[in-house]
Amino acid sequence: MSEEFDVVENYKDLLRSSPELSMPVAAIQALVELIKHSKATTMSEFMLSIKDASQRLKSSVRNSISLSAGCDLFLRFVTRNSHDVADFETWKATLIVRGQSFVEKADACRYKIADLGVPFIKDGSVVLIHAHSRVVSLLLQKASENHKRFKVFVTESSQTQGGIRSAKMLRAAGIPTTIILDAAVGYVIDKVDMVLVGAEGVVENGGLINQIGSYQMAIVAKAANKPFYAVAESYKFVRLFPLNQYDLPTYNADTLSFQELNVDYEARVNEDGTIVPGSTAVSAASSTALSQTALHMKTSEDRASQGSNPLVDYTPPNYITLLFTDLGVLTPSGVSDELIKLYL
Amino acid sequence: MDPKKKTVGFVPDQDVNTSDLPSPGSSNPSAVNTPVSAFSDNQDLNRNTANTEPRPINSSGSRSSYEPMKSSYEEQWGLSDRAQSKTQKAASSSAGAGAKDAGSNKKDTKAKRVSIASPVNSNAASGKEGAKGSGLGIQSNASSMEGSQNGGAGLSGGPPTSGGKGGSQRPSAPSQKSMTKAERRELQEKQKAEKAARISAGLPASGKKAAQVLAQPSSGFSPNPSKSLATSFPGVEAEKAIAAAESTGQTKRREKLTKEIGLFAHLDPPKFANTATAPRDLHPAVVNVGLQMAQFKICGANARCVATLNAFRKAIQDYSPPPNTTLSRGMQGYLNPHISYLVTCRPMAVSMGNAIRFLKHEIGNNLDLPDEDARVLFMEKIDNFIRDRITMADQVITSLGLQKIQDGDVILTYARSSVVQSLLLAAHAKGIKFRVIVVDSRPRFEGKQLLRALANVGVPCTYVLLTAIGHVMKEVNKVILGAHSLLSNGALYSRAGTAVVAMSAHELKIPVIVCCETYKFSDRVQLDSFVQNEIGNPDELVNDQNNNYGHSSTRCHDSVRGSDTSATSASKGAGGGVLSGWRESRDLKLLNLLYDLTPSEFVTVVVTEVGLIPCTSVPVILREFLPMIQQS
Repeated sequence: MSEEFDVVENYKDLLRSSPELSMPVAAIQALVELIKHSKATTMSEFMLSIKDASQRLKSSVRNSISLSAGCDLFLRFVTRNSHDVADFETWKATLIVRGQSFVEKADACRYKIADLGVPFIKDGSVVLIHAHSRVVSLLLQKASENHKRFKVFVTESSQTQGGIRSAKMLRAAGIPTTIILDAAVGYVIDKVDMVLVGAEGVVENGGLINQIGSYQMAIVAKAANKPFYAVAESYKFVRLFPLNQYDLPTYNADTLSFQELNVDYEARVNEDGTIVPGSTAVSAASSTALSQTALHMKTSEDRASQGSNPLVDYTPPNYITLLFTDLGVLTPSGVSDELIKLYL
Repeated sequence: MDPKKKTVGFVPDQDVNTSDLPSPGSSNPSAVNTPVSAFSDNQDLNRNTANTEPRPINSSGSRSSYEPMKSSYEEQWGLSDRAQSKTQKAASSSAGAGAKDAGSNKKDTKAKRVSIASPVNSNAASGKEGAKGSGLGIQSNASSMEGSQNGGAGLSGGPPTSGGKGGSQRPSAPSQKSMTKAERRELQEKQKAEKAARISAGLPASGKKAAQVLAQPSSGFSPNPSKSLATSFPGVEAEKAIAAAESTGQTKRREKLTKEIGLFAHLDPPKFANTATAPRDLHPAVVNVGLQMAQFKICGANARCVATLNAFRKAIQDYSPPPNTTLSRGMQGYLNPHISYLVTCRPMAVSMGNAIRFLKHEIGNNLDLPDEDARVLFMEKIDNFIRDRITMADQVITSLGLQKIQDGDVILTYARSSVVQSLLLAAHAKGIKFRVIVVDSRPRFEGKQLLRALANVGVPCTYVLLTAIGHVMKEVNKVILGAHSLLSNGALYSRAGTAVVAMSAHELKIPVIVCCETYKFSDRVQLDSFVQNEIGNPDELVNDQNNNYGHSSTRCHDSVRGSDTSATSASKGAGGGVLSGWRESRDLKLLNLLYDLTPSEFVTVVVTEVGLIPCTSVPVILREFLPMIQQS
């Protein structure tokens, strides 16, 4: 078993050491490491240890969707190959080799997607993106390298401030970029030619799980008849089928719960460390400076209720025009085709 | 006048069914009084009110036997009556055949009943001194006369529906009624073919019958009349009439009789249990299943498929190939008449089609196997199919569906699906606290079965009809539906009414969950409910007040008896509401479509045994997954 090897620690190390690594790939890499360290002698023990490790990985982070996509993919890969095992040790070796080659190829995925997506960005167009996504940034950089002239609106994404990161990267690549408030999506949509978002996970019906705010962008885009494209690597396809926002694994009874009145929240906030500084519902109304003051003005109740804000939302497939993946440019129903092929 | 008396005598027995009783009263005073009293509590006001009007019209008819026919209705009536006489001839002959067939199948109680009923018909027909055509004419005359007499006497209890055209409608109705009732009588008294003698006896018999008649209605809301109304298959007669008309090449007439609707003329007319036309060498188990399906005793895609497969299994078990062929090769030819017989009973369900295709595929793949090996193999394949594709699939669907039911859910479902029922029961057994709204609709009220099952285990339930869908949908947060079939374009083909439910859920962004086994997936594509559908018995739409109190299980139960009576349509009409005379009304047609099509965008997710999939993935499953299963 893996007593002496801590998957979760390894996974976090991997993410820390290389910020470009995405969660599912890091998870797979961590699991490959686990196999390397595994001292399991029987098949069932081995499978058990992998399942256990992936379970621990999933429960180690608050938002496990893209992580579980990686874990499930690897598990599927392991079980699918477990039928015709002649020699246990050589099988383990092949698993390690395959896993590593997968990790290496994962990076190439993004480049392939970028190549596929570039033709969709027209010269002189205006693109609206949401928060920060590595693959979206790469796609835009590629387009810029291909001498496409376009401008970008990026939402601030107040919870993680990802938009600010994106804006820095894009400006560095010479792309004119403006940060807008999350609440200003409707305001700018008429000036926009297309909406481009990344994904934490792509679910079975071709819907999207992504950083909070994607769904409302999709709705606004649909209402304005603007194309809404999602960009996702195929290892983010996940076997989930959410019926609506409240059917996600990240949803729990506390999400957006109403605070009880007349309770001292100071204590609760302290023990609950999940509140990100600067993540505010109120800050949408203000610039960074304002949001600082707003933060000071907020009562402890406000901050407590922020802790119950969701991190991701679900965009149903009927709002998505196309998905750019390394398997090609797919319609949402094409995603379910691929998933069925993969998992059945 | 003699014939009249006979018919009069006849009528009373029949009226067990319905309101016709008044007419006998005219000839037999004592009978007259009694029916009225009986009606007072049992029969609807409708009848009485309806009755009052038609009489004047009737009274215009002269007593001489054929005169009335020349009234303006003559065309219609003359035609239909003649056709009916033919029908009855056909019926008697076919009934005889049917009886023989059924008789050969001792295990099948239903078949027996059918056989019993049909001889009755033939007897009745023959009882009229063999001159059926004239006999019928007389009958109709007599009835019209009775109507006139009634009118004069001011008795209440004429046929309810006659309205302005009452006179015309009546003649035919009584004749049919008389048949029906006679049959019913016989069933009840268990007197069989000797009826002819009794008929000739005339009045005394009628007196007895009248007495009985009285007794039945007076029992308050006696279940019998209503049940018989609800369950009988009046269309049987119509069908036979059709057959007769067709045989004479009178297609015009056919249209008139069937009340075929132009847009749906390409669909098979409603079918009724009829062993008469079936080939002789069918396996009794298959005959049995066919009859049960025709009478909707076996209903629902899964149940029909399992029943069919089990019947075929028995057929394979008992099959001995002709000399010089292997069992497999013989079987190929042997199954075909069985299959076409089943199709004559009721249009094939998609599920059955897929199962039969599977079976044929297996047979075709094992043509040269030794006989006994092949027999064992096919039986095993059938067992495996039922186990893997239906039984186990349902269990997997149930467990997958449980993921989508949470505490506090309000789940809406429509009619009854076996899978949905087991899912809801499993959710309750798992301790999930949820509420169910069962939406139901005329004419079959299948939701009542589900309601009973759920209420029995203590699931909080609400029961509404489809008309209330807009009202209840607001409090719902999940809709779970069953399926007859899923088509390749993702459309859901299911019980009529499903589309409305799905659409209103979609309108409110409520997720619609469809539970469907993959063996019901079809490679067909359909864009609307018109191209392909099944027309049910239009008379199901007629008897409003009766149907409302019966529910399908009892109806099924009763349909055994009801279906036997081949001439019930008119008598049934007499018991019904405003629509009861629809067959006689020139411009009125009834359409009872059994299925409708829900477009794929109204369906959020399909729960199958291979997982939760969007309904647009049906072709992917057909392409990728099913070949895998078939190989293994």
